[in-house]
Amino acid sequence: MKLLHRIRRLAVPSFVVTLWYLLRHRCRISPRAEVEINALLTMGAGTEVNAFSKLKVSGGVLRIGRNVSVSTCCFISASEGGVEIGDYTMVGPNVSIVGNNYRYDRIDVPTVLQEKTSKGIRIADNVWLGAGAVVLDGARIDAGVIVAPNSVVSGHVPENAVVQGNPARVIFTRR
Amino acid sequence: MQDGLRSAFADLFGLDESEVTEELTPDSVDLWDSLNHLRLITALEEAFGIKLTMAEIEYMMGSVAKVREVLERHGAGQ
Repeated sequence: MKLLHRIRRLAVPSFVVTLWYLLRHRCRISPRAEVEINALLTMGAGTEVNAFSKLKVSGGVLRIGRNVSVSTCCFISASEGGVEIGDYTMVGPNVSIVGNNYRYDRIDVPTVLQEKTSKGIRIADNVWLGAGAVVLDGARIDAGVIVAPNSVVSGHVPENAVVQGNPARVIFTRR
Repeated sequence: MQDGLRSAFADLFGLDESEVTEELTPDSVDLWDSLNHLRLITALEEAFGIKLTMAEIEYMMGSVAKVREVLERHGAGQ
């Protein structure tokens, strides 16, 4: 199973991936993006993924809604907790959505060898993630939220909030 | 000009209170962009206990004089 998975990731030419998602899901995936064909990765119609972005399921469900725009150079990784992105969400360039974390409570063991954890990330509809934003494991972003460029989100962001900074704080609520 | 308005501007845009004049516009203040404008609105709403509409918020991004005009309409700082 793992071998099949690796073959699919490495041996399937990118134009085949582009064609697959275009014909099966009506999504526009750049041939220069790195998106695997995997049952755990679903995308709604009208979604686009631009060049040099990487979408990875890593054993979890990565569910992207309809008409989502993933800009260039983004990294989206699901892991066991899964990542959900709602309809009409805009993901700006260089955004990272990282659905896993590592324990680091033992100093005698390299962090990479300690337990990997994954609570999952939920991003609702009509969210705008500004350029360079980072969304960490456990984040829950409600509908209509705007995340300012280079902000770091790891907790809950309420509906229609505009957040900025590290950690991201609400600076305004859209009305 | 209301002291609350002057100090909110000075704090958010890194200016001395004496530099805050009614003629200031987003073009003349480096940090007065759309995001910092929202931070200004939140600061003013908290300082004066008012709630502004989106149309007012948009209008206020014209100049300090326009910000003052809207605040006065709400009876703020008087």
